[in-house]
Amino acid sequence: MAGPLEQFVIKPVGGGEMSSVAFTNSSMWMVLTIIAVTAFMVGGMRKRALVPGPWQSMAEATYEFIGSMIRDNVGDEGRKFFPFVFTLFMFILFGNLLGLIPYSFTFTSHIIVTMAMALFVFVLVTLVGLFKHGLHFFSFFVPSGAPVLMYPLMIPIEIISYLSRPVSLSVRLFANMMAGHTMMKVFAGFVFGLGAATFGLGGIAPIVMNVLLTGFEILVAFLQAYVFCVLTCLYLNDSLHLH
Amino acid sequence: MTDGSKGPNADNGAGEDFAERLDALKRDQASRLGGGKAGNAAPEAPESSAQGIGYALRMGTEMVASLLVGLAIGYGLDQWLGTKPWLMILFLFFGMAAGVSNVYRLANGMDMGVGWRRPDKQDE
Repeated sequence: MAGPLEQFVIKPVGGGEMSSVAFTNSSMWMVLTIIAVTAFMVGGMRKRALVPGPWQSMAEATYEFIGSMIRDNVGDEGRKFFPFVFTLFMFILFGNLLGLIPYSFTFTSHIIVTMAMALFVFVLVTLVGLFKHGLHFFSFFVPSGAPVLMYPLMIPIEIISYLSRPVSLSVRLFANMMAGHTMMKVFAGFVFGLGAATFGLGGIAPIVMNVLLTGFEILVAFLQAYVFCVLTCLYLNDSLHLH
Repeated sequence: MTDGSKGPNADNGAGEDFAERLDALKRDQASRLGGGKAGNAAPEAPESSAQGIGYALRMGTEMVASLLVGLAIGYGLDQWLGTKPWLMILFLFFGMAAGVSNVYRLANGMDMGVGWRRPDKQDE
């Protein structure tokens, strides 16, 4: 029986030697995710009906969802970041959801993937702030209203809390996905262990648990994609509107 | 706009105007939602349970992430300046403080950014 962590092993597609340029299962599922997102959006909007069918409503609902998220959190200036946030949301969401299919691979459960996305957001947000406000951007790190005596203490804290953004952004997504998938595998292992000892009766409880966990994982898949994008919007808002 | 004369409103009894019924429905919905989207008056309260879970999940990682970043900065400065344990210890405390302040800001002004922004309007 496979161990609970074996699902996270990265290996080249179709066997063969592992190398730095190999087309791995992780890359394959990223490509499949992009294909799925494209199929979802293009297929949904193909008819362009005035009264949308079920598929088109889903495509429109995701569009509206991200649109209102940006409108609420960033405002009008955030409109030009819509493609970025939308791509991010769909990529993470479909990656999470496709990872729930048995025998698939969840690329969002690797911190290198989430860290790359988080650092991209972080660098983008910093550059946006720098281009928009110039050196005035660094006034962010000076807490307003605090006495000057406290500055040597407050400024390092503010800088650390700014630098902790990409870490918390990436760790949250990666840890949630990895923990959930590991837990599902562990409970699946209990099915065999308990079932073999009690003529199959003991296996029922872990199966029920796994069904519940699958539902919970679907919730987490949506939630984490949502949180990632909401935080991206909040960071954008901070950079665009200095307080 | 629409005449609505051939609409199947036989079971509705009195044939009210369509706009009137739509207004009533909207009012009913707004009162049931409790000003979730329309009011936007209370940013403090999470709008749904899913968002509440989202906030809860953010709390823990905010603290740990700031702590780790503080630790990493201290360690890096120590390697660079050769002051082996001291800056790491100092920045560990800075990291803790940053983590606590992050969580405080997150809990206080829900829609505020996690970084440096403080919940305004309440303090000053």
